[in-house]
Amino acid sequence: MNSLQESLYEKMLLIRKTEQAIDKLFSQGKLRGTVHGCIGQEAIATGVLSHINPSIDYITGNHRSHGHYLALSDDATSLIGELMGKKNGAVEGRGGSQHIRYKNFYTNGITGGMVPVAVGLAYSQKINTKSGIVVSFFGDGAMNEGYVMEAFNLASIMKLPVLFVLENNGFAMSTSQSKTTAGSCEARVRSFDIEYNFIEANDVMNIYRISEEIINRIRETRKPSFIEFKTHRFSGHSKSDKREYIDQELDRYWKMNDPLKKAKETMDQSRAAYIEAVIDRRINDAILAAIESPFPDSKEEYEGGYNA
Amino acid sequence: MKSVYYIDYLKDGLRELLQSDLSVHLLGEDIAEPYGGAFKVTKGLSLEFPDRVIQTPMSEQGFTGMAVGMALAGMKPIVEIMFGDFSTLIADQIINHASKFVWLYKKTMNLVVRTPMGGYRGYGATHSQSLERLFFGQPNTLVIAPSILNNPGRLLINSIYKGLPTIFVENKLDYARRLIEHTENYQDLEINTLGLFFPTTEVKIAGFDESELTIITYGGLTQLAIELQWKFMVEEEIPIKLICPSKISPIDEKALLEFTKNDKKILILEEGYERFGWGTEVSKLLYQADSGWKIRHIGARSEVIGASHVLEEYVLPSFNGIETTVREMVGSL
Repeated sequence: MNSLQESLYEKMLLIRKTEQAIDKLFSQGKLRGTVHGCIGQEAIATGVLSHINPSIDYITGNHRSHGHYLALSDDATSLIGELMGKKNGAVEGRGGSQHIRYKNFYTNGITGGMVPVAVGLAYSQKINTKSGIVVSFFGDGAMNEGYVMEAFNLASIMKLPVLFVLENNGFAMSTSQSKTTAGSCEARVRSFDIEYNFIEANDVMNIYRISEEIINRIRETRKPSFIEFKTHRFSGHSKSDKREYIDQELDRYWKMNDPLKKAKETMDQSRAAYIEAVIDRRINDAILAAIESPFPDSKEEYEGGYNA
Repeated sequence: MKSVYYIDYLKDGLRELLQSDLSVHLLGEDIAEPYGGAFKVTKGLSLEFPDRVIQTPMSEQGFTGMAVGMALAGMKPIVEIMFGDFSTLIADQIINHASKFVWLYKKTMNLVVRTPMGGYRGYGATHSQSLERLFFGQPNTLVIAPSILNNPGRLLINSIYKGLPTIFVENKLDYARRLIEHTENYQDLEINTLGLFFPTTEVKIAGFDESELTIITYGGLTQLAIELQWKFMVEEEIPIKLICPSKISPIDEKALLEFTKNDKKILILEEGYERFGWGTEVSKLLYQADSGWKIRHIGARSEVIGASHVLEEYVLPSFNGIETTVREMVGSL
């Protein structure tokens, strides 16, 4: 039986190695379109979503949601299949990287657009369930979208059971937050009378414990809460991004504070090596399964035609 | 009391939905008591259904997004956007969210946005437009527009159960109008419909099987078209036929072609901008059917709608302007 520590490490490693495999598939010309990787941010999805049941709770993601998807589904095959546009993909090749679904988890490619949607899901949770909640993930770029502020206001004034999760990696695409965001995210959130929490995303056990407490509180009080995670993405914004705007000093700091490195240090090293081998094999199998899978059938997918 | 006016039927539909289906919720600005909506469509409903008539802040993008989330969770939200002009604000949530989920995630989205469009009331540039055109042709999105020929409450009920994000276009002038069956000349009309849930309606003067001209229009201009129909009948005994779809996008092509198959001259009327308009699409469908119709199309000029009476009249289609075109077409000029 895996310890909690080991299973959190395993989940984070699955996310990281899947993202790395996706990068490699791109360089080999086996993927089209684009992807937004989350290398460096794995501890957030892993820690927070450990307390979420995607058959009861709702979760919304964004353009950078591979980590959320894997944390919930533990299934690299359907993610890679989706990126290859294959029938075995999460949504049978219709969506690609930015439009994926697993049970009650939905993503979309419009910055901030899923935050008001999460508020509506939370409205439904409030009146239709006793303890179901919603978790909404978004980045620091979304903090400057108008309807995200509208969503905070609605969630607060209507007292809805939603956890807003800001994954603040400091850059909206290539633009530093210091150049785009007046005041602070904290002050904005508090001004809506929403409980605010801050966590540096370097220790998955810490994230696991604090988010458990916050999520349990939301289930009980049916009121919104907010976590700002300070994090760092080692992936480019998207696949073509060379990360020229990121200070090397920042990379060095986060290499030291890499949540995977930190988790691995405190583990039995032979167990860590075993877990790594298992993940490598799983990802390899996932790629093979995706390559084998057929493409979707256009006729079937668009059956009935325009608004039938 | 039996309903007579368009607004009463609409409210009956809302009430019936709230009574019969607990998942129906209304959202919008100033829709609860004592205001009851800018056009009073929801007046009184918050007293009967206090938990399900949700008065929102002025956050059209936010609460429309919220309705998208409610629909995604299987509820049936009906949003009121106070003026159709504000539907620019909700375009992202309808086009990039709600309608995408229908196909990407194979979700039934029971979501209706009710909104009053149209001018002729002196409200000026940003409170008079017919912006339903923003949603024309969008996949997995319906644009439904009742007129005095339909029971708007029934169309609303059919819209919320259709399972597609629906823009439900009400015309400001129609609210105070009587439905056709409560008008003076109703007995002298022959009315036929095609299509079950979102019918296309044909109106002929009883006893005249052949018409000299067919007018195709929808929504608020239906009333004007009927007035023209009577004027030409009474004054010159020229029979004009009217065809009025309630499903504006996508167009019910079959019904349109069935009703026009014996016609020769067709005039398409719309209150929205003529250029790149709904009538342009209807014209294309008719043209491609290759039946040799003579087709004219009248809509608003592509100009900002001025507030002053004379400026508004210059931009929007007018009774006199349409009458002149009708005379040209039937050769009585």
